[in-house]
Amino acid sequence: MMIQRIIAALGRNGKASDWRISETVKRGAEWYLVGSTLDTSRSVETVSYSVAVYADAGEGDSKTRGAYSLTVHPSADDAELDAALARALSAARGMKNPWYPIPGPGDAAKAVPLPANAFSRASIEDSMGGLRNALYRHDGEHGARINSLELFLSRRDERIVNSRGLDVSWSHYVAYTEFIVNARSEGKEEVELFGDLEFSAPDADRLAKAVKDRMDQARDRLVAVPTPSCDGLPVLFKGDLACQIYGYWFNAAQAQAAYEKTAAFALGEDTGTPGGTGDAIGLAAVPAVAGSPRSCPYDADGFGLAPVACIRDGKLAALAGPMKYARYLGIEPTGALPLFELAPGKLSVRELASKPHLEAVAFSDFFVDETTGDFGGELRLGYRVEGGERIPVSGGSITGNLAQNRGKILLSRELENTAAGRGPAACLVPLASIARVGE
Amino acid sequence: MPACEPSAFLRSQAPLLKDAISELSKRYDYISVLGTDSAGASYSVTPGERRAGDSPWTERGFTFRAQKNGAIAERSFNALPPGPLAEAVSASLDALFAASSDAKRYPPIPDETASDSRFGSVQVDPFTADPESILDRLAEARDGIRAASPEIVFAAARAEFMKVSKIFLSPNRHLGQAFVWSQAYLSAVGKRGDATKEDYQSLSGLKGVELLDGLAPESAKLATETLELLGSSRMEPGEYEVIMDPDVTGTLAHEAFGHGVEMDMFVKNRAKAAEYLGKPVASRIVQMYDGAAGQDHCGSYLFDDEGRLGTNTQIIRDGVLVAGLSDLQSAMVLGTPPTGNGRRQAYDHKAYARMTNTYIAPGTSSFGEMLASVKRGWLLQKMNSGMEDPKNWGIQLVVLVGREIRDGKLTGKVASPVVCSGYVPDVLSNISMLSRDFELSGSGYCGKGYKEYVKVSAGGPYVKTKMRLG
Repeated sequence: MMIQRIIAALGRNGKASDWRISETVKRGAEWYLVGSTLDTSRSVETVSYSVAVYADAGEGDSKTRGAYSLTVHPSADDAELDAALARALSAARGMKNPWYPIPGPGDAAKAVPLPANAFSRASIEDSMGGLRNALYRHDGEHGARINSLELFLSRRDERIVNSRGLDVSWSHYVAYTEFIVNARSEGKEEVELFGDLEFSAPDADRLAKAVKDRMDQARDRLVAVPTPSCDGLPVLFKGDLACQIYGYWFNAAQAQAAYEKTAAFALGEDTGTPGGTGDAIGLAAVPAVAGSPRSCPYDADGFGLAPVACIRDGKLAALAGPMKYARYLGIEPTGALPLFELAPGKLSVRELASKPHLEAVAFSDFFVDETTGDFGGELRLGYRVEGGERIPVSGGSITGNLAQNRGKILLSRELENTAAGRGPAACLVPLASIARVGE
Repeated sequence: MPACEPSAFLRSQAPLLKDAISELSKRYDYISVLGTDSAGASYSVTPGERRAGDSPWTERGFTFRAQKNGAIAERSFNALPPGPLAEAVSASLDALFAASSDAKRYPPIPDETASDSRFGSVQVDPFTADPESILDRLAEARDGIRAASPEIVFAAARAEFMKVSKIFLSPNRHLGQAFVWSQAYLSAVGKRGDATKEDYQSLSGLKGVELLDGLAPESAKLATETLELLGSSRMEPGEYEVIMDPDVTGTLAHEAFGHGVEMDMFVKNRAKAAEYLGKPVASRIVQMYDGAAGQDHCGSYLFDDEGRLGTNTQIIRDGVLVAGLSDLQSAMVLGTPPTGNGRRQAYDHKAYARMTNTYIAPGTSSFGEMLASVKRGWLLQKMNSGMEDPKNWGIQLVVLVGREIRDGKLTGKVASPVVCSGYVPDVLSNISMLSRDFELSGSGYCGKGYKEYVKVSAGGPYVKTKMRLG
């Protein structure tokens, strides 16, 4: 109904060269718990409309395109709608960017549909109880407990239509939990660790394990020693931390980064070095990864998404990107793919961890700058592994640069799924600066 | 100087909302509604491209909050349901209460009488200004960066203008506000050999398009600094004397102590600060504040998202922790006065205890005196990120620019990035000098953990202390 009203308003205006309307219907529940007690519950039901209007000028090679993306509220009446579109088109006409197309029905056709979601078998409210039970499965075990927890689950029904006849729709579930775990023991000050998980399926064991792992780590933080000197030790990253490292290569495969010259590597460039000791990088941009709520069959323009092999045998061989940047670079469009798959390395996690190293587990706020390659953070928990000992350490900081580690990073053979993609469960970064506590 | 008009949409809906509140007040022990209609526009000029669109902070919707037998539930929506509003809201709230029989029981939510409104003003209304002229000014600033050196491979200029409009209604409270905040960023990426560095400059405030008047001079500064970063090196990790610029000082106040005195953390037993009320936590020269009513900057407002009037809270007085920041629920549990710090990312998010304008008050030293006093240390500039650890009082600050100080002088050596860490009481207790300067910056956002972003400002003077750098 609202989409038809927006289309009618675009017709009344008559000045848009093209347009695209995105509708998101969200229905969600939120629970906020302190300890194991429900503190506050919320329900959310919203309908959102994002409208892009395009204004063309000129002809042939000098043809230009301006665009303005506006939010249309479902409560907007026709007068408000007309005024908002007029304002947006006025702004769009002032921008004379190189022309680019928007997808048509044929561009949506190759989309890989998302698999059926198990959340759809129950109501949102009924699912919440099961998720809560899974997350609290190990609460209180061995001196560790959940301090507080927030749980969000929503169903999103998406639809994109545009002036070229494209009309696609899909549904998906977005779930997120954030939890704080505490550990305490006699004579020790209680410690906490932050944990969170984005997920899209009611996988009770995965949820229970995520909390249990953090509780185990909190217990280790309780007995951790101040980070000692770790001169020359490589750093082992696992799970989400490793995935943040992999984002450096994923960013380099983005058409927009190439167009703006902020990518770490140029098309055709080797991401490694001759005779490098690290694993050759192999990376595909993909539309979906099991369990990731960022999976989607279409990009924001409605372009149908399918996997693209971007880095092959270490060489940046193809870029992924929406129609606009593909046009600007003169390459085939792939759509803006949200996720990545990074190929495994040769060694197992166990083999990677067999030599002396510092394993980084939790930071105050780990950062990886995908443009410069800088990474680092203050260490809340790590393990110094040397001589058969695995000693929990806390404090100090790790800094480094991925460009300086080019061709030297080792990847594990085992793969793991995270919200950002699927990749080696661990990576070993040889060059990093580790500030010990008390220096 | 045009004043911000109250939202026509919210004015048109007010009678309907008042009727619903009147009806729902018969069914619940407490009922209120927050209505928002905030509109914004963002503009950017990047290589070969100009972009514009509504700000992602644009929102319009409602949150009803109800209390029944002590339990609290909320219903958020943005499309008015068909039929009587009170019936639709009641059906949702009743379902929530029925599904949460084990929910915590709170004392009655207070609903003292209040009726007030405030409407800010700007010099040049960003919503009637010509978008093309805004983009032209951004393009000029971007070109200024790009022209400085072929080593600058990327430059961009961005601006965002938000008009925040809200109403809060309960049986006894009728509040309205509208104001504009704005921010502008310049960013650059430089490449030299294998080295890649990026940098930014920002402006912000309760301003309209006049904010952009300050943009052009920043281009040259940014270009010069980006080229300096290309020649930067890593520092020897260790503990150093440091001087923080006002931007880094603000983030120190925000991350080191502000998050730790958000009193919902006290309720969860997540804040070490709870044990230190009335005790020294910092050097005696430190005075620290937070308040929506304390400064006119991006964290200012008349009332928070729970309908409480903004205040100005002195958190640290003469080095002693004297007060925290509370949302309504934490104040009810702790028996403390609400401080007007209950904020939501948007109408469809929960309210938490959040900061507003957070700052350390200026001192009596000059920057030159502070510099001269440092034997071996670093001047820390250009905040990149920060993260709190309220339970165990660790702190992480990442700054983009570290300038070496030896024997009271800048040596010209630059390190980037620099991870600064330490134990909060040590960092605050080691504050030995505060400059007479005072600056606030509101170009960033504050998250609670890794979500729930709200607009804040933070700042203060130059501060001398000791931190672990790496």
